[in-house]
Amino acid sequence: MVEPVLQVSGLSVDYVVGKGAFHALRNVSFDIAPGRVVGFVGETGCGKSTLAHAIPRLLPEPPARVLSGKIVFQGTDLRELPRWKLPAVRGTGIGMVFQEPLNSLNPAYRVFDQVAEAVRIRRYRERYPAAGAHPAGGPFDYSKPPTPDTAEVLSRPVTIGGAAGEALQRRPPVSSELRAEVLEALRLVRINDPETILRLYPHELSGGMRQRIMIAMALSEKPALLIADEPTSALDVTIQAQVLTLMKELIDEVRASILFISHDLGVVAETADEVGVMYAGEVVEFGPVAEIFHSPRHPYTRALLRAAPARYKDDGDLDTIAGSVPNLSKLPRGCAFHPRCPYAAPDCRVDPSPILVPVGAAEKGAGSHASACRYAEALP
Amino acid sequence: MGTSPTSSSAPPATPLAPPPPPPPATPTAPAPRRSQTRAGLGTFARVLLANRLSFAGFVVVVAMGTIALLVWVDPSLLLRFSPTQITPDIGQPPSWTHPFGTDESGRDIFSNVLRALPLDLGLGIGIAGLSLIIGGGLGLVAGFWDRPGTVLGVVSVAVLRLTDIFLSFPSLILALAITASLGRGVPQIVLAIVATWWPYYVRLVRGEVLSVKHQQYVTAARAAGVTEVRILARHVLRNILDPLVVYFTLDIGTVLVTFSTIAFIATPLPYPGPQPEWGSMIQFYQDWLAQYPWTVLFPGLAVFVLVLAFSLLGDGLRDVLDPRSRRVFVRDGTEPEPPMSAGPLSPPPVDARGSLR
Repeated sequence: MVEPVLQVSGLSVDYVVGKGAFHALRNVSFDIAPGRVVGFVGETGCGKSTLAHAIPRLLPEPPARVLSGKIVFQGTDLRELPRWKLPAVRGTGIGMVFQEPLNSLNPAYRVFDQVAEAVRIRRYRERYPAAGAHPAGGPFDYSKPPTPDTAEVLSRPVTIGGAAGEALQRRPPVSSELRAEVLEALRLVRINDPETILRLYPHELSGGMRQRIMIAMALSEKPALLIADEPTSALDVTIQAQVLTLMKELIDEVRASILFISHDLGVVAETADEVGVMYAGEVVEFGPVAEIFHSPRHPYTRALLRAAPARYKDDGDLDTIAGSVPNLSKLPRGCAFHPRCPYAAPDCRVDPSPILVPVGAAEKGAGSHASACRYAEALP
Repeated sequence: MGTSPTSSSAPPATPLAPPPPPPPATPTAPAPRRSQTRAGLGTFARVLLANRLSFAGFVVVVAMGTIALLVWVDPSLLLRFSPTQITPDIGQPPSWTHPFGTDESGRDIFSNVLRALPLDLGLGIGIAGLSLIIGGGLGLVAGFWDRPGTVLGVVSVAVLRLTDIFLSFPSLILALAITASLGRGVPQIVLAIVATWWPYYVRLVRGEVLSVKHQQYVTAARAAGVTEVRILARHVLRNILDPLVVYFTLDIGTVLVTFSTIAFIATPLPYPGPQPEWGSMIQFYQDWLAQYPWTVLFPGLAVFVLVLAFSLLGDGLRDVLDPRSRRVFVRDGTEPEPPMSAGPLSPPPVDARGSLR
């Protein structure tokens, strides 16, 4: 058993607003194995983004409040890390791509400066691996590792020995090297003429370009875990397709552990190895992508799959899930989904649903499919 | 993705020149083709030139600065008389020998007004700068680290309450009271004005920091592993700098007026003396207003011109510093600059200035 890159267990997050509290995450637990892509799907407001922000502890506290749980990243519980040590984990340890590419780049700097900042952070940490810092490494590597060719090695500057040489080597990387790395990062995300893009300000770029640059920045730090929080949602449909294609190619190429969050079942089905389905702040089902999509073991997953529009087909009205998402500050007693569940039994209304119990083949110790429905096995 | 923002922000085409043909559609290259937004000196000059008033302000400020520097280095370069020198021309109106006239004892007003320029200009910049550093620094801390329950959170609340206390006094009255208790002298007036001036910068900077620090790019920087201090210095400060510089430039004029007012009303600096000051000059000559009006007119005019120049420059800076409005003025760098002064009726691109904040 390989040690997972990220182990989230029992994570609960509230948003405290006035005297009320919105239970944005309740008892969320899952693992991400090295090199695996884990997708999370769910409706708007089910806690997907909260989860994405809670892992690198980016939630604004207040209003958010992490009540309990562990976020163990490469053996360190991030919740126990003092706040000032967190920057050492972010970026090179846990990278992130956000939902709104339009606001994610600093309007005051050119593309070069922004990507260079990310590259500098990684280079600095590679050079001075501080205690608790996460230098680039882990499962992240390009499938085509840059092999140093002879001509390049020979053309390297002759190093000066002694204290002076050491002092020289401690200097921050020279800008031509930095520039080459920035260009490399931009080429990785299929930007055709990075030389031009480097000189532009974010407001001169389209949304798709900005998202590519965000992805380039995140990847240039070579994180052990990349969190992509709905990276395509804010883009229009054609650009979504482009960025998604890029993401899929990069996932193959980069082989990092990725937490991919989306409300689009199709996207998750295509990208993820394992899928978590979220409802009202809970992970209601978690398992390998094929099992989730072919033999869902939670009524919500089933309803969600049925409600997904089948493309190119006109079968009349779309299926919907009856009722509406519960108010997160006043969750129903018992299972959160029972008011909308067609299979709800009397005890579903009273007793809280179990936390992810293995189902299907996993019950016999094979696979990792789990459902939070007490009648998972009995579902018709 | 293929549309470049250049086309949307291009200035209105001049009636004579046909609009440039649209760039050929390149579906595979989503990038805007060329762009020049170098905020270099060339851009600076072009943007300032585009707006004649702010250019005038810029010229006046530069000219005044140069004169002030020359006078400060060696007054005899420009001035024929020393400020206290008594000439035989008593109460003369402006003439070639005495451009601003002379007073009742024959002192040259021009020499005195120009001698006061380095002091007044320096005080305007210095007091505003000191307030900017003190108030701005406190505002940064109060805005950025306002998490309740932390040490810095408590500090920021304390700073804000202190600011409220200071702001609850009318600033001019408070400054007058402070100078009245401290006595005459430049340091006293500086202290009095700075004491009443910094709270405005706390408010301004804190407000700007609050609006910037919740921007997605700050979170993105944090997610990239940038430390908090560096986020504040590099991402937050940089984005509030533009309004701050504009406000600061406008503020220099206000400080000048306030300093002169305090000197005029409460604690004039010794005049006549080796170091004249405009407010004190006006105070000294007010009794001679009817007989020798130029003695009051020219120090007053000096204050007026300098304040106006800083206001116009501040407005112009706003255009230079906002990259979005800068685009309108500076087109593609490979093309010649569009004629900004095409005719007396061609107005500056109004939408660029109107789109600000």
